[in-house]
Amino acid sequence: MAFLEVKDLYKNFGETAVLKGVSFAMERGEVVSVIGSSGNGKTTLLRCLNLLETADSGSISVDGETVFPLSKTKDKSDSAQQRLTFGMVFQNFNLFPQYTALQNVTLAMDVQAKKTLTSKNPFSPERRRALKELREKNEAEARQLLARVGLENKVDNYPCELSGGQQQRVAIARALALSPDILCFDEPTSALDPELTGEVLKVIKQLRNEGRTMIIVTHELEFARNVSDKIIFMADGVIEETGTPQELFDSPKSEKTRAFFEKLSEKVTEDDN
Amino acid sequence: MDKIQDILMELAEGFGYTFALFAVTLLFALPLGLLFAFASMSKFKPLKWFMKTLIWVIRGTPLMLQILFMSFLPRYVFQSTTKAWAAALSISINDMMFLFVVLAFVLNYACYFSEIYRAGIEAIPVGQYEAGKVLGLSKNQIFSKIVLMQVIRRILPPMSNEIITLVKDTSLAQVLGVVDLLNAAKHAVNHYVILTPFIYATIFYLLFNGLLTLLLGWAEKKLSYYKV
Ligand SMILES: Nc1ncnc2c1ncn2[C@@H]1O[C@H](COP(=O)(O)OP(=O)(O)O)[C@@H](O)[C@H]1O
Ligand SMILES: [Mg+2]
Repeated sequence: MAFLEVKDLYKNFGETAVLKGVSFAMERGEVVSVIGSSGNGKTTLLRCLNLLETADSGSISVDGETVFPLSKTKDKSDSAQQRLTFGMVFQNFNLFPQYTALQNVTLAMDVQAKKTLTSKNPFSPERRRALKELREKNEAEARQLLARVGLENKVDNYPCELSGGQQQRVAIARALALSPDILCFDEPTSALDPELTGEVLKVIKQLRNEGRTMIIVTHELEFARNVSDKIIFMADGVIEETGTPQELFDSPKSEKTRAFFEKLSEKVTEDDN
Repeated sequence: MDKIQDILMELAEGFGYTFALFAVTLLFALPLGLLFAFASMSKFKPLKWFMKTLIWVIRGTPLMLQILFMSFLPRYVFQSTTKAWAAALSISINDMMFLFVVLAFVLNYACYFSEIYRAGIEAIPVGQYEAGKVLGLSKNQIFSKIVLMQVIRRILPPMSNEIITLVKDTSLAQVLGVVDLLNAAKHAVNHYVILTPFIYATIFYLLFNGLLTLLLGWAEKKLSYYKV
């Protein structure tokens, strides 16, 4: 059984069928890129994985454990816990504006750390000492994470003081902080000025070299080719074609895939003129 | 000279009621307004529509009418008397009247505040909630750790306006005979047959509002350490 198994996901929004039976699998340490024109359900697929949307049917399992559908016996806190299986980096960052880069990263770490405390009495000095230690540990870890995305000098800056590329790197550090099994990116560079995409892509590449399991929805085809073990081409709510970057980019089998690439290259030549 | 001192003493006493009405209204209407806001956004339709109707009625009618309505509650709704109610609470009739005013003010301002809260909460981008969710935070944690601070920051300017308005609205208390600052000034004007008490009252109001404006402006500045 593969590390991540997605089987037959269906999702409708009212009358519109957005996912019409999506199935794929990936191994631990693999990087999978999802490409396709917009409106074809790529975002919806990621949102079903991390349970921001509830799929109508189908199943998702990670490391042999069923993530979706949630078993009826599990309560809501479990579904909050479940989300940590997947990390999520949003197209428009969604950083918390009132917190510094460092606080953005430590917020969820501290919340998780609190759950591990044995003493529940908020006034017990023992608990407060333990909490303080955990906070310090989290802060040190968060500083390291921010250093890894090249922001050691920006830890105390607020999101509004950072460029788009820097904000997205904070968002990546924030997602990494909870060590998710699988990190999802939804067009991580689409909201960025062209000259800022490089710094974000570099961080993702570095994460691949560290062996992170990642699913990346992207329009950066050159990047997808370089960084991915596998490419998924989505069209009209289904996976139209999947294969290694070489297979998919150099000899696409499906008519729709070919049409997608042709349309893109036309656009590129148009832009060049 | 003695006259001025007497007048000022009377006005100060009146200001005591003005300030008490102001403070108590804020103390109760601020949290009650948040509760009203949640109710008016509730997924439970009957609660939502009840709340929306209440807010519509309160905001659509004069506060003075609401104060009068409160004072008629004992007789016309409960077939009792204000006197009996005051006795039951072992307070004076005057204090009972003051209590009616307070009730009307709290209800009225909670409705106005709830609309400000609602607008503030609805203005928070859905991405903030989603970012919290994918980080494993519970609904309550998302509200308290992420949303609330941003809401407070957004609503402080419209809240400040309402709070300044509240200071001036306190003068409506006199319809039930409460001797607030303005009523005390009116008595003094009639009693001593001079106009200066109104001028003193003006200065009282302006000083109080000036102080509030400074305080609220300072809070606003404190909270705008980041851009949204
Ligand atoms: N919450 C929603 N309600 C209604 N329709 C939606 C919603 N989210 C997405 N859709 C629709 O689903 C389709 C696929 O959207 P999306 O998954 O965002 O595609 P992609 O990410 O590939 O551009 C679009 O037609 C979009 O309008
Ligand atoms: Mg999308």
